[in-house]
Amino acid sequence: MNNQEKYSKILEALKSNKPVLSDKEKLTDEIMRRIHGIEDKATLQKKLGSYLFGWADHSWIRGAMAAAAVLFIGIFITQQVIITNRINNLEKQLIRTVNTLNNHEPDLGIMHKVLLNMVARDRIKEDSITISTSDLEELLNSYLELQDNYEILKQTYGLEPYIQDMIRRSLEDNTNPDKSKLKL
Amino acid sequence: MFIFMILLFSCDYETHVINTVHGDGSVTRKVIVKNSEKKFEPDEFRVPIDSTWQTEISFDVNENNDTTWILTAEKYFASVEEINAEYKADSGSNREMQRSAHFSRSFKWFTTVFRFSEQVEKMLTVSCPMSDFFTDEELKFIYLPNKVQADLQNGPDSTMFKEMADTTDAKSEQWLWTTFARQWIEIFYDLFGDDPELTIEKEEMMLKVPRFVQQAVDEEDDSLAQFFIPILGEEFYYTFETEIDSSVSVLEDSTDIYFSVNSYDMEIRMPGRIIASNGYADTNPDSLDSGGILWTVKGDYFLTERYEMWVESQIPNYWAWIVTAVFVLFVITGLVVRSRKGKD
Repeated sequence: MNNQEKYSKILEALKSNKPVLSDKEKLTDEIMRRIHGIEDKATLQKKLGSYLFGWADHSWIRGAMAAAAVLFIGIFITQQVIITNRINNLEKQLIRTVNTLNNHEPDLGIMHKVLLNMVARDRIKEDSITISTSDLEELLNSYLELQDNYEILKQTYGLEPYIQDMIRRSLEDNTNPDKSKLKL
Repeated sequence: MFIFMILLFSCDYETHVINTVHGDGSVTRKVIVKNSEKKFEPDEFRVPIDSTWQTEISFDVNENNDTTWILTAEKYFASVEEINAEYKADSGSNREMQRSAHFSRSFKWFTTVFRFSEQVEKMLTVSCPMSDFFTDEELKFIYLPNKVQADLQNGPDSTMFKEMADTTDAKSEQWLWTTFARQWIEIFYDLFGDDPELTIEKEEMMLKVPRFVQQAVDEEDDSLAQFFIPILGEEFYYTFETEIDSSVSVLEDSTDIYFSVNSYDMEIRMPGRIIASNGYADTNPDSLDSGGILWTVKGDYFLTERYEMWVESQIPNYWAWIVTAVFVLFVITGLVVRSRKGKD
């Protein structure tokens, strides 16, 4: 007996002993249900696709959605370009400021400069002296100190009116611009 | 003379205002005032500061042993309206200035843009814009903070900047006297324009402005007669002597505000990234002023024009970016699906 014959006999024996199914109908139903499930899954994907992208089948909605997307991209690009330009312009206004602490340089406005010119021009023909900035500052400080002392004196000692008048006249005479011999 | 010099060289109450603007429109305002004395007089403050502010006084001594007293005041304002209310109730040295703050927030889908501005209304009624007298370059130089102007004149290209400073000074004088001349004419015709004896029309008088300016620049005598007679003639002057005197007094009153204005520095710090402004950005990392946009507030800027210090900033709305990206992908996918269907 060769091998071929052996296999044939075994196959015959297997074929003659069929399995006994306990619930034939249930098994059939289960097989059929699973086959339908695969079909349902394919239908659900189609339904979802149709639900999400069904708009693409209508030409006018398709056009509108595409236009909206292009518009959004366009707005984004335009905004970025405008912002970049504005920032570039702003960068031209960059300055490097000096630390202002203890900076006692006077901030002269246009009017101050004009008045200074006028004073300088008016005084130029008169008898005049030239003084340095530090001397001028010292002079001003002395004047302010004198004025403060006068106020303190007035408050502390309650000077008689005629003395107050005398001091005031004296101060006024000293501060009369016609009598000052300064050249700035 | 002395009063003028004191006014001219007075460096006390050097003031730096910092407005830190928040996204909801609230503002934290910090004011730094430097003085040579420890005592700070409230009526000398350049911007309103009262007892509702948190204040602190410190001092600094420089290499010459000069002591500078520094008052730091800070207050949180829920909105710009509260700042404006303080401006209206101001009793400081700049109380005559009509100042106001404005804030707006605009949603622009991908970004939200914030705009904050402080405005000072013009002091005179007449129109005499600086742009009629100065070139754009000169205007830029004029609007630079004083300290920066001085820095430029002492730094590289100093000759060019000194020349520009001289040019702007000369033109400034012309601009200022033109403004005053126009304002005087405005006042004179407002008050006495109906006088039957007045034969010169206002427009004709306006044509004499250059002569007024020339006279103001050349004149060395203070008397009104010597000023007006060469321009308007003896007959006109003596006919309207009282009216001229009155209108000059009114002019003096209206320009008093200009003379009384004390300059100060303004800085605005914004939420997000600053994208535009008419101020100047500080690049000095050691400076106290870094982080914001800077302006100098001085009377010249708002004599005949409203002065607005404005700055715009933006914050990106990242959620809008994501929504847009999802939408664009969705549309592209839809179009691809459709094209595949068509092929099938």
